Amino acid sequence: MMIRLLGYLLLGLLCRLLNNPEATQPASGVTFLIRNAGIIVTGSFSNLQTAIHFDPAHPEASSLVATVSAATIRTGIALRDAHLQKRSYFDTEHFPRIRMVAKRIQKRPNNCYVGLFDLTIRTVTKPVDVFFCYYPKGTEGHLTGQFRVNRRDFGLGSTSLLLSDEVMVLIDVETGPLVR
Amino acid sequence: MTQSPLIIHQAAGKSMLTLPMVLLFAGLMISCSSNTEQTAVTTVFIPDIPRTWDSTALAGFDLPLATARATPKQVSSSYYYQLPERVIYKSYPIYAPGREPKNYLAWLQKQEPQVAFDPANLKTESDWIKAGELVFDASIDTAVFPLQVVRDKAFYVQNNMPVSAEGVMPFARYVVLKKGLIAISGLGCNMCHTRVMPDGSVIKGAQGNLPEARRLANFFGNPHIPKEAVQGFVQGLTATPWLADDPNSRLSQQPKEKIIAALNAMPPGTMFRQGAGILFPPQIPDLIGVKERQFLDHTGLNRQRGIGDLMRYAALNQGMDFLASYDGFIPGGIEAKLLPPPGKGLAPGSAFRYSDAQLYALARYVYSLKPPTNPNRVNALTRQGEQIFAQQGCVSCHTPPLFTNNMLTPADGFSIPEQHYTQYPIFDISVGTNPDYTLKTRRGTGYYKVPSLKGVWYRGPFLHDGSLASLDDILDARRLRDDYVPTGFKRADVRTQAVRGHEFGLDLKATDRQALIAYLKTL
Repeated sequence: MMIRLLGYLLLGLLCRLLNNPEATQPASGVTFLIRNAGIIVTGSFSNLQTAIHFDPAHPEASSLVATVSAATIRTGIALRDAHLQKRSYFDTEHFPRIRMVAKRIQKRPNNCYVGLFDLTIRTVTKPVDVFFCYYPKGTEGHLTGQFRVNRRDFGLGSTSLLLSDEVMVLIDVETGPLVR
Repeated sequence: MTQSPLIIHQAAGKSMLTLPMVLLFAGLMISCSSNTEQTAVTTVFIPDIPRTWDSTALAGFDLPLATARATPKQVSSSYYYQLPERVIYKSYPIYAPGREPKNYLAWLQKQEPQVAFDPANLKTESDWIKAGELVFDASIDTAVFPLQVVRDKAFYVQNNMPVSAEGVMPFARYVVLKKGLIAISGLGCNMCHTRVMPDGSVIKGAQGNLPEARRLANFFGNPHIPKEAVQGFVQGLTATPWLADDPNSRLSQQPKEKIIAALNAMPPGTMFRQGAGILFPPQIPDLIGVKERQFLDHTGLNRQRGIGDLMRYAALNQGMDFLASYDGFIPGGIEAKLLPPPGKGLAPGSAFRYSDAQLYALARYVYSLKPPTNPNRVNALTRQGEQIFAQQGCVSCHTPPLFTNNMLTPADGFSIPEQHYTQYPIFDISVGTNPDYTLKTRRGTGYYKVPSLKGVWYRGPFLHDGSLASLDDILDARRLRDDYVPTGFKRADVRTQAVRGHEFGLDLKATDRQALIAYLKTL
């Protein structure tokens, strides 16, 4: 029951972030959510760098590359952040950036899309399906997306009774001038 | 049998490291719940007793020291098994003055010595566990507590000695070695691992509260105790000659008054055990639940891969570590360099060994220990505290249900050797607590193990050095200030001292802090 309730809470938070442009527009960034000991821990990465050429009408012709500094991870507890940078998690000394590269993008209703991305963390590259929506804003726009990963697929920590394997990742990106 | 409290030994024709036999606190400490289980049906129990001093098992038992070349090389199996076995005699409680049954001493003097531990009489698993309690309480040195001292009211007053509701001083026991000859068992596991609670109940195996450092300081204050004996005591117990400008050896060269002051700095619940230090005393660990620990000692000095390792730990800490070679330095050796012939060691506990059966029984007893009934109940406040425990990230290290993740954390100043990442479970971030104990003692691996929070309601002081008396103090941000006066251990040479490290929960609101502490006290 508790797990179901937490699932609803997580889903509610996601819907709010995805459907409310006000909530997602303050700045480009990467946020993540993970359940730990029964509570949802939110964290973020910064120093997001992107190379985006996105055509809403022809997404298959688009090019999207994003990287973020792994060492910028913040979860609200400084020592935990420091530990997450160590080798049992991101090993930021040796693998300073997390990278996403779009391989294929397909249109969905309501200015939304599904993209197949290669996600590289440390030495592991895995395909992930990213659901994202485009919010035009003058000649520019926002891409707001989300996807789930299993942290252990990327060697992030070990099996834990308390820490969920699944991580929800939310991305909010300023696109710059659109390609039309 | 001498009753001399302090003996300075001279080997035939050779000067030895002055190693007073007087004490040693070593300790494996064990405990026991008084109500061990009785089986309804008696079944013959055939124990599978590991060989204690097994060279293969010993090879992976010790972690390397922070100064790797000083990693102890233990005595050989051949040497160990040439040592005579300890005989464990029946023992009797020591009552505080005025609390003793009438004619008790006279009755004791009429008793014949009785060998209490005899594996031939152990038929059931329960028998073995009960026999383990005998080992727990057994002496390895009868010169620690002179008879006349434990019968002197001043001993209790000067040392603020805890006494049980029954009037028993539970840290040692009378033992009849010969009819009419009553000695006091000393340096048993019970000396460090027995706690008298405020209501007079006794928890065996818990973090002990014998004011041993104060007792010893008072003893050393006796003008008849020569300075050299006190200095030799410090040197034998604590020297780490491989360290540049060894602080432990420096203390051993100080006047008696300085050493006494250093001892007086240690509160009950800490102990100046051999290999650790007077300058860097360890908090006495709680043995209740120790079966679930992967490492033993605050520094993770020894692994616990099974019951055999706990047996090894007991053997090591009850005397054998005096005979280990630390880069050529043998604390209990002849001139601190050569092993004495088997059975001729003069360091406490080093001339005898426990039998494997004794150690097995002891370990089974320790594993059987149960915590006392917790008076703190779960309620709305503790449930709120449980949430805060998760929100503050405490669960990462103090992971339920053991409330430890059983990992090692490096201390500040220690660089983790590359191979350790695959050899040991390492939580590779320092929490910034004082690194001295794990960098400047014979037990120093460079790590601290993550302690369990189980049972914090009945024990203290806290942190590896016992520097904070209570959970409130741990969550008090004022402890980070240089003008803070530690509520537990504080170095003798300072008036104030910040207690840094483990800086979690320091900015909690008062109500949240109260809730968190209430929750911790339910564990």
